[in-house]
Amino acid sequence: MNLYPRLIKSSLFLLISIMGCDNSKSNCRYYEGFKLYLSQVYDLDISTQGDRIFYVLPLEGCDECLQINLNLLLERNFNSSKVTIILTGANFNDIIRSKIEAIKRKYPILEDGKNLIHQFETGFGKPLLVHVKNGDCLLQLQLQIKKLKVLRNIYWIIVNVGLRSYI
Amino acid sequence: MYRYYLLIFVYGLIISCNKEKNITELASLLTAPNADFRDSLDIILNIEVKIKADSNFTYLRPTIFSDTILLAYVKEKENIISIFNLKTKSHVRDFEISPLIQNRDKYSTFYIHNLDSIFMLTSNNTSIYLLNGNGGLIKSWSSFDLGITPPNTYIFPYFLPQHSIYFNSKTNLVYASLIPGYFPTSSNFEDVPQQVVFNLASNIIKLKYGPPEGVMKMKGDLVFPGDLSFPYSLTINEATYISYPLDHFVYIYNNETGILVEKKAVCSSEIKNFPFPLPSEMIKDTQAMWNFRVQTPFYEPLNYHSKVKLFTRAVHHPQELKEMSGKLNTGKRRRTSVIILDSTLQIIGETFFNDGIYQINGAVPLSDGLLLYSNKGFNNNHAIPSLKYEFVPKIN
Repeated sequence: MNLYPRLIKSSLFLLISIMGCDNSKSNCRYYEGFKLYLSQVYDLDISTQGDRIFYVLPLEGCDECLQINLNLLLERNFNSSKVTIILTGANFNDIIRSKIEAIKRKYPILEDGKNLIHQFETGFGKPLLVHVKNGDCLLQLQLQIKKLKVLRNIYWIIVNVGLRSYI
Repeated sequence: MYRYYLLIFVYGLIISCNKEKNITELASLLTAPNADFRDSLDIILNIEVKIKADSNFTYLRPTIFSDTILLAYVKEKENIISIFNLKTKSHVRDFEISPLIQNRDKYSTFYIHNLDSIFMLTSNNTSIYLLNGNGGLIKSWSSFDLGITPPNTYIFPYFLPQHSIYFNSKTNLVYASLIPGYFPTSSNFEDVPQQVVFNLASNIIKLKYGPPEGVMKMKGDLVFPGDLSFPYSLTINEATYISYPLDHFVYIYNNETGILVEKKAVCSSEIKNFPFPLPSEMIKDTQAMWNFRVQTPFYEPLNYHSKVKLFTRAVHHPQELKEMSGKLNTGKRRRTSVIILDSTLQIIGETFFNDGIYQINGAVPLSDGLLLYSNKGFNNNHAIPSLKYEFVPKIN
């Protein structure tokens, strides 16, 4: 039996359940602020980008939570031509720094050492996933550690297969 | 059966009426009451304290002991604390924090009893640590050690550096806030004490007191941003002064008996209204909560200045959500008032600071004034740029 479509179906069901339960995190309410952030801080015009996923990861705060996110990015092979990691703030923990260096070698990175993202209305607080296609926001999702285990498989599908084609 | 339905109907009616009454009462509490105001004292800049930097380190969470010794975390070296002397304006020494304190506990602030007994407050909201002057761990307490079970149901609010404990060495008692972990999203905490007095040696809780009062009691399951939801606590002898970021009153308790003795309105002449709290489901929308935080006025902790026997209470004024550029307002230009109070909490002055000179949580009380950390008017050659303000009679 081909498990792949079943995995997609069950993962999407879970994702839709999460979105349904918590609409504030899944919609694109703060997309305008995110666009402004990318254009003002990185001079990046998002409307000229094709299919892109931005994974905004805060390096300050709870180290344990950060490690879970870093491990996820290192363990799974997300499509690096589609994914851009935005690292915000700074972390001086040696173990974490070595993981960050490994991530820098694996994915395209934008660095925001001064936490400029907090000056924009982006919906950022916890790690943030923003899926953009031709300038349109498809998904903006704030990630919670409790849900990361569920999201592991969903991520892979979003990044490598694309979400919209399955909804 | 009919009686059963009638009972449900009457019970529903009582709940509904109580909710309505609470909302009305909440609205009135969010409005500043009339307070007696005698405008006779001011706070003015006395001296710029310039400590020469001998490294490129960034120092965080400075705390002052006896008006002269300043302790601060080194941002770039997670286990190092630096000590400075404000009088000689020099770097004294550094010490390393015991590795027994887990790495994941980010350091928040200190309560310095003396330089060999430093209470370290961290992001671990269930534990308090006591260090010696070399950073060695003398003892730690968790809410579980204090006999509160199940574990993690109560938290210390000291991951927020503006909160602190108090230790009385004569009685060996620690005075701390201990908040139910399900706060602030639940409305079932109105009667739960939020202050605890425990013996440092025996871990026995002597007293629990101080359930939420005023705005925090009446808000029910409505929410404020997390850092604006915890009670501030200031203990002076047998009196503990509890205040809240979004409540105009200060509540004075006898910490021997736990009895609320009186409440006093301590408010600015300019801040008349606080915004209504948000519906509980909004707590998941971190941006909405932050937007509230950017715009709302709010109080800082009550300070006591022992040499001059005065209290101060700072309040940050409301501001627009966004600047002209479309960026969120960072508060760099926020207006702040410092309300000056005599020993009975009678208002005797109000000093206004403009252009963000008084940063959020950017001041430390001295026995005769305030030390404001400044990011303006200094260059990077100074480790902890700060401005010392003192009380002076107001000249009208």
